[in-house]
Amino acid sequence: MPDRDAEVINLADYIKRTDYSEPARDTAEHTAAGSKHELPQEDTTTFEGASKPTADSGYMSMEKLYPLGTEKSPELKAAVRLLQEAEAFVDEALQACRDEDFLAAAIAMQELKALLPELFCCRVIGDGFGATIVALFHSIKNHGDHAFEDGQFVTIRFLVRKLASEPFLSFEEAQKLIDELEDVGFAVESPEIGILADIVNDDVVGSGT
Amino acid sequence: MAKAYIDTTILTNVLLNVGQTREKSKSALARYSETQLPEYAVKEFRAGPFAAFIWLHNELAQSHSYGSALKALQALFGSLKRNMPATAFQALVNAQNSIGHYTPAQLEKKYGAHAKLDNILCDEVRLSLRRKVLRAWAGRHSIASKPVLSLPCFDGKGPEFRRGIFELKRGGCPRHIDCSLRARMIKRPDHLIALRDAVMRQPQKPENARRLKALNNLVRVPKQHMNDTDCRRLGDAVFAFFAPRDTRILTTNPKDHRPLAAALGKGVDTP
Repeated sequence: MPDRDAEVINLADYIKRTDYSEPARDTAEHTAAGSKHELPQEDTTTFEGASKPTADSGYMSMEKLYPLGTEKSPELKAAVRLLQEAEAFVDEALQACRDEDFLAAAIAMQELKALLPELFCCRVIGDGFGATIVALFHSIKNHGDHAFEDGQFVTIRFLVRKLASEPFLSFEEAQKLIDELEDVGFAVESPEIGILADIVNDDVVGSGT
Repeated sequence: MAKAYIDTTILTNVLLNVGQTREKSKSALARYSETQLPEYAVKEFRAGPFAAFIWLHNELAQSHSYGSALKALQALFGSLKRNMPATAFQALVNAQNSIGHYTPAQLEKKYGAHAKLDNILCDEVRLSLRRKVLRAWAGRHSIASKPVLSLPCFDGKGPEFRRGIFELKRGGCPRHIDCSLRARMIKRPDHLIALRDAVMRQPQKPENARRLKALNNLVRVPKQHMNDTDCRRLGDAVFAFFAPRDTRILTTNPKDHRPLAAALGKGVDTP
């Protein structure tokens, strides 16, 4: 099991230093030391109007980015597959929402929610990954019966794509993603945290002995 | 509009709680033209609810078991001679909102221990607590418009995350330094006596007994140095003593605050 403190994983074992047909879209943090790839310009079309990633869009698939990773880590392999499915569900939900087919959007979100528990089983990838998945799960669950808004779908899609391209993101990076969920109105925490807060907020807990 | 003098319970609700409870306290703060946060509330928050969250996070990180951590939490309450509400504890045990309850059993064959409910709950809560701790400490001063009652004897250091757990030095006040509140409080012996008499009229409970002892020391031996223990024992009396007359003490615990505040002609509000 990887050390939880090793937020930035050394990818030297996972990335071959060979030519790739597509430029990597990645951060310096996750590029193997000594890589000669130049980082591309940040994709600024991630939110509104963003289309599905294509070979020309500068988006590199997980299999290309971590060619050995999925073989060495079954959890990473599963996560790659599940995140691809997740992105498809969110795309479907977003499009359905824009077409005002709210029932189809709701079903797509049910499908997304259904695969999050298995994604959480892959949390050995790292605490950043695990924290993001569980926050997304509670965001959707706490949303209850309310209809999702366009901006909320866009944020979820951004989060899923971010995880897909940077599964080893640090815990601190994950907090920024979770903050984005809160910014669009999601409640990212389980109600059980509230129960704990109520228990410790009893005026006598922790008071001087 | 009135001004609020924020106590530890409000700080805890805004920084650590979720949902309606949190929103209610936040909305309450918005009612006032000015919200004053005494550093004493931050000190008590750090030593009490905040430290409890850190303790539980670390317990989960080290035990790798939700069930074990809950048992340890129960034992901790026992050692502090506190009662944990049975319904609250059962709700924690059930954790009905957990992602674990949506995890099909057949995933265990594929993912082993990572698909077991106890392990899932452990990591789920641990990760949530880690975020809560970091966000709470970062945002502790931002909930109010004005910090007040600075405590030069309080180092106010936050937690450090190392080896998978939070390290939180006991902090509080250094042993060899006199409590900075003492020098200010003994200037008003009439207030101290009024507070002491108010506490004596309150129901017998350990918290009031400790508060009475600390107040008695200030009244009878005002020049004696006050240590961190007595500082913490004062508790609600500090808010009653130092809240300016043009403020209302904002708390979720009016039962304990009102008699003390009333003894000094001050008011108490709740969310």
